[in-house]
Amino acid sequence: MDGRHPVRLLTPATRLAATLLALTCCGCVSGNWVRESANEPLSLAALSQVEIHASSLQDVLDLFGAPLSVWENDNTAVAVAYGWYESNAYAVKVSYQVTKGNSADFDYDRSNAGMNGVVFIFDDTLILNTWRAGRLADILGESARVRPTLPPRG
Amino acid sequence: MRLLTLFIVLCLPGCLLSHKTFNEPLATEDIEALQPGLTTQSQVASRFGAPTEIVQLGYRSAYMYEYKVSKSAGIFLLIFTASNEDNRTDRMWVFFDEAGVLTHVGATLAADRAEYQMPWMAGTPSDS
Repeated sequence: MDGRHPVRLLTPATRLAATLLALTCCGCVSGNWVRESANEPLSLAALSQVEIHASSLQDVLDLFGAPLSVWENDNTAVAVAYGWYESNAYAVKVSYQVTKGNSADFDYDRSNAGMNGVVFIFDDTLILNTWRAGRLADILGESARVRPTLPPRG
Repeated sequence: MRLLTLFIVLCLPGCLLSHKTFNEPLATEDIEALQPGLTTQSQVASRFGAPTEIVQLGYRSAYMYEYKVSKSAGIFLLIFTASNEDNRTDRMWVFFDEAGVLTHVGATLAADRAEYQMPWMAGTPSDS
């Protein structure tokens, strides 16, 4: 490195061309960086204190606070879910006119969206029966999914 | 210096700060006043108002109260947009037995932890 500032290496004509290019491209080239978050993840240290067939609903509420959702489970008394969300998405979009009246878009997206969480399921006496951690949509979808059955023979 | 001035002039018109709230904040003293085994559904309703959600749990029931805060910050340059939205919540669930008496309380007060941040400033949410 010779210590010179890179901007000073550009000639005035190059800088003008770069500015004009940026100004003229703003209608057809765009870059986006959008981050979104909701709630806070459960503490792993607190999760290690939870004991199946020993912890009560009140123990879980004391450890983790108010759940995101509460519902009556099919075969047990109560299920509660904690969830948190964090997405960090980048996108570059290029749009140009291909024929008169038509335009084409090219998108490049990368995102890690999805709500993670923990579901606790309690029995009739409100003692913890089981718990699962992961993507809430997967956990809840799995519990709601009907198992496939073979058609009757004959 | 001229480049910096140009940058500032181009950036300033595209700044965004947004603060949205939903419902009323939950007061700590109101939550602490709840007494399992004594407080009734009607007392909870008169203290906190209409719940955001009511769930029937067999012969039990539960009310949810929620106050949401959403803080957004963004910058819109010529061809680049960056924005961040932080959503935090005060939430309380109260559980009642079949006689309508309070049995369990769970509360999280996190709405005041919502922050204005740009995407590159925001780290992993704190492990609470």
